[in-house]
Amino acid sequence: MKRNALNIMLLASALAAPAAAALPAGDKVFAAMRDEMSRSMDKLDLDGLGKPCFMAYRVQTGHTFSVSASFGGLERDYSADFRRLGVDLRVGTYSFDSSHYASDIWNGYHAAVDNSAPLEDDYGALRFDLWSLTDGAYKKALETYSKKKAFVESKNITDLYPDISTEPVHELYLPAPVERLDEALWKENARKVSAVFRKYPAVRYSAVGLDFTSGNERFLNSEGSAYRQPLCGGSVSIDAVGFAPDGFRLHSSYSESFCDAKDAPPLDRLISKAEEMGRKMTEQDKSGTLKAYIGPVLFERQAAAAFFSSLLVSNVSSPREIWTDPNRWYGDGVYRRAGRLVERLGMRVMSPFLNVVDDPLASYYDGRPLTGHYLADNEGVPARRLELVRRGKLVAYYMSRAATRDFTVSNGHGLGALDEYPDGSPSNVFIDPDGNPSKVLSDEALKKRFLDLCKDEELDYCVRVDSLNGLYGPFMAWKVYLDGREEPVHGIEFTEVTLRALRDIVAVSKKRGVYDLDWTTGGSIVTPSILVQEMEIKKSERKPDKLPYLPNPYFSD
Amino acid sequence: MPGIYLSLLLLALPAPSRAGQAAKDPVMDAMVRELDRSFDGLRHKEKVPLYYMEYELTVSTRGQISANMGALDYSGVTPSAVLDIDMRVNGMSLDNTHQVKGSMSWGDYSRSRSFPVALDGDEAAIRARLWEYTDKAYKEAEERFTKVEMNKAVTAAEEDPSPDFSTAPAEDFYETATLQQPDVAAWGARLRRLSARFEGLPFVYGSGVWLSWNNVNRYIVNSDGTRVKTGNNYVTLGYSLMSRTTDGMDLTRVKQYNGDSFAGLPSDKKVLSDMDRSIKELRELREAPLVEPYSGPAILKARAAAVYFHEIIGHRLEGHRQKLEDSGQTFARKVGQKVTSPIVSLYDDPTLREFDGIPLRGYYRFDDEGVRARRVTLVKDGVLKGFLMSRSPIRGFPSSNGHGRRSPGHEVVSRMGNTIMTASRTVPYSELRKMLIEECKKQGKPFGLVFDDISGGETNTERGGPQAFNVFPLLVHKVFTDGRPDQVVRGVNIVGTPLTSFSEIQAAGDDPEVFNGTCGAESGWVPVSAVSPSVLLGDIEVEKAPKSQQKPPVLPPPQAYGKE
Repeated sequence: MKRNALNIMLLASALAAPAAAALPAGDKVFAAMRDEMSRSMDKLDLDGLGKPCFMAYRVQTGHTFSVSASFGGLERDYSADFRRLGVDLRVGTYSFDSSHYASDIWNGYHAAVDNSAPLEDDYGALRFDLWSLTDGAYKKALETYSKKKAFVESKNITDLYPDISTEPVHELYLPAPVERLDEALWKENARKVSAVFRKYPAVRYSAVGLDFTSGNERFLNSEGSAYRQPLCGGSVSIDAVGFAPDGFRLHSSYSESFCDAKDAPPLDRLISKAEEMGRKMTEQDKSGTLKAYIGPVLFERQAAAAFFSSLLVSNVSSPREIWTDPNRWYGDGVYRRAGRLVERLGMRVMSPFLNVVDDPLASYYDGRPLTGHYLADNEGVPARRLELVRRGKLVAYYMSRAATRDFTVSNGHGLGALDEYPDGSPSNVFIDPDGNPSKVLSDEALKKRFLDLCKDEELDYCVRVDSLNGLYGPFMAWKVYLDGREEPVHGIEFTEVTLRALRDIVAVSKKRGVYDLDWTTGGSIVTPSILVQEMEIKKSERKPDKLPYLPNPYFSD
Repeated sequence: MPGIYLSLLLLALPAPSRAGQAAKDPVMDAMVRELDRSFDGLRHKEKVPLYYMEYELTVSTRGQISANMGALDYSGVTPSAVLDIDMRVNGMSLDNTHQVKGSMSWGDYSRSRSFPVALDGDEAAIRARLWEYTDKAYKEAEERFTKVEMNKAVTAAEEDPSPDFSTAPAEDFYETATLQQPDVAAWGARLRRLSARFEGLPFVYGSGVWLSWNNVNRYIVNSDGTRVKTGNNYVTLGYSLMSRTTDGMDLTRVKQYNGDSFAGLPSDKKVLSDMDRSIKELRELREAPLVEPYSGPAILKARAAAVYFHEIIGHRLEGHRQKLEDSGQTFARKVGQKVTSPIVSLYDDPTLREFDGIPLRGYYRFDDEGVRARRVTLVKDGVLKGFLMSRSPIRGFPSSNGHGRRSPGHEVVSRMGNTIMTASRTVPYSELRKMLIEECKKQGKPFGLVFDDISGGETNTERGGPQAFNVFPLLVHKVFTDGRPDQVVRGVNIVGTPLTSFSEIQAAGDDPEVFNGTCGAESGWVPVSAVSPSVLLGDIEVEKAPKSQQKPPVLPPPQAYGKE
């Protein structure tokens, strides 16, 4: 009964169509989107199988610039304008539509995309491409819908929740000019930063990359919600590879993201970062290893960001499962699982002195750009600051317009790359400790607490790590002895990492830093360094390499 | 099986200019110095000695502008510099490149890789990358040789005991191909205009017009002392349009104009006139009836015949296939024997820059092993004379004839360049058509087929599968014996086996044409040309072509809305 009421209401809103949106006058791109969407919603009906119940177009326009350099030489140089189209077209009803089902596991769960749409605001050419893309998406949606229906009918699934929630119509039109970096300067910068490693023979191989995309995204859905807002993404990465004395390959990487051209990192900062990596690799060049370790671990700076990204952020995202036809790879018919903490709403998931919020409205922290900033999410829903964890308890998770048992509406976090269906996703995550003076410490006090813990556990040394590429591969760290002496170690991995670690955080630093979130839609995390009571570490099973036969000619000629 | 395709894709070559000397080129200098250092330093580092190494650096600037329905959809220029390294350990008679046979061959396929180096000629940066990649390649060569030795010990002896490598003279040559960048704004305007020709046509579901150009210079240095820099330019103007029938068959018309400079491209008038013809053909194809599987006489018009020769015999005359143990080796032991009609001769000549004024994409001066390209006679008056050879020898053919080719990231094998079929007796096309009708009457067939255009083909050369080929026609006509007008038909592929098919060639026209394309095989995609006159075959077999199974679009294109 309840479901029927919802259908009638949403059918009405679907028929209202995008014409209702007060699109910017004279914008030919929006006009093409509106007109083709109206025609599609009205006329698309293959052999009476049903019209679309919902549509959304996204059109991204801009310029991309990408360079990479190694050892002082420029190796990649790409600069081009782009326009890309994406369509999310659903058939069925808002309660039960063609989404959340991967009908073809080979192609995955992807929205229809056209990566080479007309660069110019040519109404006719744009409508042609939108028409072509929409036709394919419609036929695919019909097929997916029938498969999903058959799947649900073959199971006893009682917890079905609406695929599209009811949201107020929202419009937002921001100026969003295409910015260009000084490309000649950045080619030079990439060269210069990469040339830093000419001073560090311990860095055997290295690369420096810069990617910068700037432009705008237009969005329009069949309910009349629309936006035009900036589309930007910039990042600089530095990668260095060295070898430990036993031949174990050592990776060190750094990345820094930004959105506006004015926030591109200054050259001197990048050079000093490369210098720091070079020095660290030189120290690690003499590093040893360890057999096994159980005890406290101090996650400093970027390592703390990797810790939260892996254990917390990904587990409060994507709250709805994606199903598929059961097969040998997905025997239970689950193509993608929901975040693991979603089931723990209302429970204590972190140490009680920690709070976590996500705020897409924030654009800077301590002068550093936050790349998760937006005003409307990729479903056109207004961005909202979201409290995720309050005094250690999970009070919310990221929601798109796909309802769950706990939430029936979006909280403005429906994000996805152009080829992804928007899904509950992070933007700017803030790890906010409360004011407890015994838990929130200066860097020095945190280090002291770490060593005290080490002593309590009657260990000879404990492990400090300041850079991690996720929690599930080999990493470099430091053995810290009780007298404060440090020795580099390599070739080690965490083992038995569980969500328990989030509750084992015993202290954090007062000082917080901004780091990149490893997520397809980008984002930032603002986090302190953290001290975790107990982690298990083992020697990596990865085998060392044979060292290079000859020296780098630069250091030997 | 290695997919071997000849696709429609065209380009041409520039006039490389002699400029300066190798010694003054910092890139060449960096390569030579690092090659010498690595070869000396690594030669005896392991028990199995390094006996040969080669660096090939491909430096290119590739650009493209494309338009669709009157608007630009891409414009960009991308430079690249990528390295290939060949390292051989042990000795010429048996080295790490030797084929691994039997159950161990599974997973031992060659992998494509990308080794980028500095674009700007910085010596320290280039040498650092060469050092990094060389170390990796050397370790892989040593590791693979261990597998080769063991595999040779536990598997049966090969039919062809030829060595793995042969000697070749050291070459010293230096040229730089230059290509003036096009006026992007002017070309953008031109492509917009041309692409608008397809607007508003209700049956055109996709289309595009593009200009692409590629300036390529290759540096090749090896431990034999070869020091070569050589280059080519490839320029293509092209368009395509597609439609779909209600029974789910995709239909395409494609046209490409190749040159080695922008000056050689056709005028708008010519392109628009070709576009109008393509539109007409596409419209006819949509209405055309399907052909049922058929066997009987047919004419392959010149360009279609060129693809046919490339597929059915060209790939089978690639030298390395004569000794690969899993290859069909159709022609391995047929040297000196009749393999086709006595009117047919076939040769491959990469040194030809053009044919009848049309630039050939398969032109090059040196192959990717630094061996000077040369003409090779493959078939003379129907008798098999030779093979396309890289530095991998085969029985009776101990050395390279300059056909070792690859695209960057792949290992060299023998490939075609400009493959040219000539006939000792030719007739005008109108006569050939009469002969077709006569042949049909003789065989009691109500019609014969004429294949006007072909998109490409594929052939299987491996054992374990049939030694068959497929050729994909784009435009086919039925020619009736009772004088009815010709009829456009659709939905067939040519299928056959090489020895049978080759013997069916009865006559040839006097109308040779060039097919410029890009050929894909285990050593990547390489530019090639094929030239042939039209040919009459006494018997050709066609089978039903696969379909996309997609329905046509539900709604007509927006520009055509209301016009249908």
